[in-house]
Amino acid sequence: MSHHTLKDAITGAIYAETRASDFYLAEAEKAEDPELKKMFESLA
Amino acid sequence: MSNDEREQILKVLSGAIIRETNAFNFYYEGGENPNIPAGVRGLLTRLAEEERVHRQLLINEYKAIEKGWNGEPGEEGEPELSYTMPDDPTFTPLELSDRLEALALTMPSRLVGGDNIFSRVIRDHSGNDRGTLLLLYDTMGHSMKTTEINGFAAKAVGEYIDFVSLSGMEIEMLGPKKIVTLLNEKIAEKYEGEGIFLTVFCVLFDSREGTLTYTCAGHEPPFLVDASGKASSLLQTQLIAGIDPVFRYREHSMPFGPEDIFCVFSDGIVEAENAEEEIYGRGGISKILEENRDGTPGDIVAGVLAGLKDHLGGKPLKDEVSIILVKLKGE
Repeated sequence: MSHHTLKDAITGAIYAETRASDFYLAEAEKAEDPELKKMFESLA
Repeated sequence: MSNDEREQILKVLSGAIIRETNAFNFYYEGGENPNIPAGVRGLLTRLAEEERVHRQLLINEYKAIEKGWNGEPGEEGEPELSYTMPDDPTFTPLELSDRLEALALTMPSRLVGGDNIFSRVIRDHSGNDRGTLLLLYDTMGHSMKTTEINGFAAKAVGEYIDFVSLSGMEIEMLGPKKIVTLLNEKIAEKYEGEGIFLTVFCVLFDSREGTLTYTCAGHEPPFLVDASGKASSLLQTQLIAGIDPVFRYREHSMPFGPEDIFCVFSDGIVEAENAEEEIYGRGGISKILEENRDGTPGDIVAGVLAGLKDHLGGKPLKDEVSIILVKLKGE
C-alpha cells in the first residue's frame, strides 16, 4: 500500500503494530525466563 | 446501554419468549391429540421440544441481560457491563461436521453485545460434508451500538454463505480469507468514518484432509495444542476489519489431527483483571489447555472458566467473554 494519504499512513501503522504484536507473542513463547516471557506478553 | 435501551431489549425478549411459549403450546397440544395420526403427532411433539429449547435459550438471555447490565452507572451515567461469572453458562449451539467435537460460549449474553460465534457445515454440490466453518468476531467497544454492528455482520456472513451455497458457486468461495474479506468490505463501507472495527477469527476445519485453515483480522491469536502437549499461538495476524475496505486477507493452513486442541477466545478473557489489577493473560489459558488436553471440550472449557473465576476472586467482569474449543473425535 502506498502512503499517499493520512488514512493510508495510519492504516499502515496499525498493520505494523499488529505485526509487532505477533512478533512479541512469538518471542514470549520462545522465552524460557518467566520475567522475559511476561515482558514480551505485555509488549504484545 | 441506556436504561431505555435495556428496557426495550428486555421487552423484545419477553415478547419472543411469549411467542415461543405459544408455539410450544400449539405443537404440544397437537402432539397429545388422539385424533391426529401417530406420525404427525410424533412430528408435533418433536417440534414442541425444539420450541422448548428455544424458549429456554431466550429465558437465559433475559436473565443474563438483567444481571449483566444492572451495574452502577458508568462514566456516561448509563448502566455499564458488569457481571459475575454464572455457575451454569449457556453454551452456543454449533453446527459441526460429524468428526468434530466442540464447545462454545459467549458471556454474559449470546444475542446482545459485540461478540458473536457463528458455525456452519460447508457442503459440496452433492451434499457431502467438506468441513466446518467457525467464526468468532468481537466488535470494539461496549455500547449498544455493538449489538447493531454484530447483527449487521451476522447478516452479511449468513447471506453470503447462503448465496454461495444456493448459487452453485465453488465452495472455495467459503474459505476463511473470502469470509473475512467480505466482512471487512461490508463493515468498512457501512460504517465509513465512524471508527467501527471488528476483530475477526475465521477457521475452516477439513476433517477429511486433516487440516485447519484460518484467517485472523486483528483478533487475539488462538492456541493450538499439538501432540507434543505444548500450546502455541496461531500468529500471522492481519489488519483489523473495518479499516481498509480493499484489504485482501490471506489464509494459512496446518495439520489438525486427533491429538490436537484448538482454542480461540476473545480478549475479554485475556484482559480480565482481578482486584490487584492483574490480567488473567494468555499464559493462564495456555497452561489449562496443556494440563487438560486429554479431556473433552466441556472439561477443558470448564477448566479455563474455573481458572478465570479463581483469578477474578469475585471481582466482576467488565467485558464480554467468548471461547470456542475444538477437537477431532477419536477413531
